[in-house]
Amino acid sequence: MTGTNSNLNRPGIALRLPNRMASLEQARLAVIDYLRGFDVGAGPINRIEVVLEELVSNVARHAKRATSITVEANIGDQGVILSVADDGEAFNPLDKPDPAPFTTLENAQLGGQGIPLIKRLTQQVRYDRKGQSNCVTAVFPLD
Amino acid sequence: MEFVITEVGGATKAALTGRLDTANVDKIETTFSASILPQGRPTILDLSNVTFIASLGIRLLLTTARTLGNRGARLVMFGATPAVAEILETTALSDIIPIFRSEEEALAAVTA
Repeated sequence: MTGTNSNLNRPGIALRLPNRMASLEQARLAVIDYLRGFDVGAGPINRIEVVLEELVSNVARHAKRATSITVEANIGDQGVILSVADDGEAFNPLDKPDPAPFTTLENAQLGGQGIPLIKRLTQQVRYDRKGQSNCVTAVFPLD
Repeated sequence: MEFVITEVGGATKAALTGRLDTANVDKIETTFSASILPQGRPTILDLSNVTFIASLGIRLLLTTARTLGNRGARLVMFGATPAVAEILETTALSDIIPIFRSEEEALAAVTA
């Protein structure tokens, strides 16, 4: 059996990690290990890794009052659903306006590329304030 | 993450190996810049052994290319793997820092 049908109804993973940069590698290895068991191509895996990197590093670098980062990954009929939550102050990273597109080397804005990358590499991405947590949920097609 | 700097045909060649992720960019940024920028020479960046790039890696490449540009030298890239090429294209970095398939093409572009 191939395609998404073989991936349906598999239990996902959830990790609650301390809010620090070292948690990123721990989350990455766990998510990759989880996805390895399914029909997920190299392209989607790379996109998921990039989005995970951006979301977790944003929390670790900027959410000073957050104590934990919770990463969940699930495979369903929509594709791969990745969520990253933190217990910091309410903050929607997706609200930040995108920087101007790169047109020349001289005028290109340094930094600020993480959120646009997340938006472009996902099929859907949303922010929810759930209780005392910020939660960003991203959906990726499997191919 | 490692990098090796050599001189090739009058240009600086920087060959990176590993993941250009947040943690590694933080580790190499200062030494990488110090190894390339003072020469102010045309530079080709070998990405064939870079397995991953995210936004901080994009920023590092942009900063390096801009600083070299301010000194009258051009930076181009070559050998990007599909995973890295997708991110360079998605951010449109490849619109302002060209990517070539081979070292020869990259060298010809910066030394023309």
